[in-house]
Amino acid sequence: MFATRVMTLLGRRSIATVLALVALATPLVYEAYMRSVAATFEIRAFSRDLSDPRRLAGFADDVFVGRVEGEGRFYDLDSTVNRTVFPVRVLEVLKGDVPSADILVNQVGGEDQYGNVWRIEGVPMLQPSETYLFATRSSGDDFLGETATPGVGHTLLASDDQRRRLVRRFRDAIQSAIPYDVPNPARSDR
Amino acid sequence: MAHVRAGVGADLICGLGRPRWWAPCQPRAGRPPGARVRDAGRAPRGPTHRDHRRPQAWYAGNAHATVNQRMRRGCGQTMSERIPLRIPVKGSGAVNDGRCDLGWYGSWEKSPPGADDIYLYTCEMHPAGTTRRREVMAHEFGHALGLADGCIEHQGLSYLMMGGPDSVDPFAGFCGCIGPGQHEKNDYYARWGCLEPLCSQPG
Repeated sequence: MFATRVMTLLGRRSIATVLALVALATPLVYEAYMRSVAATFEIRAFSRDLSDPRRLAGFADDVFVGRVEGEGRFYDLDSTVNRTVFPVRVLEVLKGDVPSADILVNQVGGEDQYGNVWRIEGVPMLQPSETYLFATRSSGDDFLGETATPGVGHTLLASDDQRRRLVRRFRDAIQSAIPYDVPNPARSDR
Repeated sequence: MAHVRAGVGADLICGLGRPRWWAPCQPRAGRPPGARVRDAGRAPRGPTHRDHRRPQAWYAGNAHATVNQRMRRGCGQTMSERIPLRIPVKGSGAVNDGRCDLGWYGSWEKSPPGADDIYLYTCEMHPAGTTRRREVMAHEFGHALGLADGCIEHQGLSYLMMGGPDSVDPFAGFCGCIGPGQHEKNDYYARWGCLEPLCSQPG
């Protein structure tokens, strides 16, 4: 009854036009709203101290030198800490069995499409075209790849000299690694 | 991994499930540091002693109780001040996402629009002992309450949040502390205030 009256007053063409406009505007309004409420989420973790390379070498499944080949892709994991996944070319393997090719390395944090930022205080995000020494554990997910140990799992190698020194230091640390008592179940598949 | 969403406030309590008209689940802005609030316990209704008997009032283990038991010694006349934080636990409270890749026991995520998030990682928490679990819980609650924020210069005084005098790890260290040190108590009183004249002898 009501609908009939409205259609009579406005005409079907007008209603269709209004509906089309609403349908078109809804995503734009939603995105504008989401951008307006975007915020920065700071993460602080309670973990064991892995700043000692021997402990880090015991914790990590893989230690390698790699170059970030491209921009990161953000994954909103909802029930866990969000990650940004980077394509990385492996240049030198110190520990583990990562393939000497392109792999995926994920890092805790990142920025989503609306401008929300998740970050660990004092931990910079990986930068494309830069070379790092990575200490990672396998995430067990194909789309996440290797997980750079938060805070201490990626060190920027600014020069060849620094790379040589750090590689030597980590080779020694791997030799005298302090075992980590919680195994990674994702690793048993490999 | 267990996901806990924590509503934080001196007298804000988020009940489990939908907000109810007598206990609205809405975030309140924190008081500025140093503010003394005379009527901290009178503003919108917090929990009472009866809440302990309500099945839907979930408290997250002894760590929570210990933090508050120690904090309340010098402050608080009613249960509203004694229990500044209650945790509504989603689902079963413990969901293992099968990942052991971070090496984290727990993490706290500061959320500017509202309630903070506390995550517990079952991979590390399951094999951990009771003291460590309590320590982790107390530490994360400390973050949510705003204790020891940015106070690395107080290292050695802030036991629960910084791991004690021997710790050099700004993430966390372990001291077996399941309750706050004096510096943390001071942070708590400075941030949330308490009733006069009981504040004069905190701890």
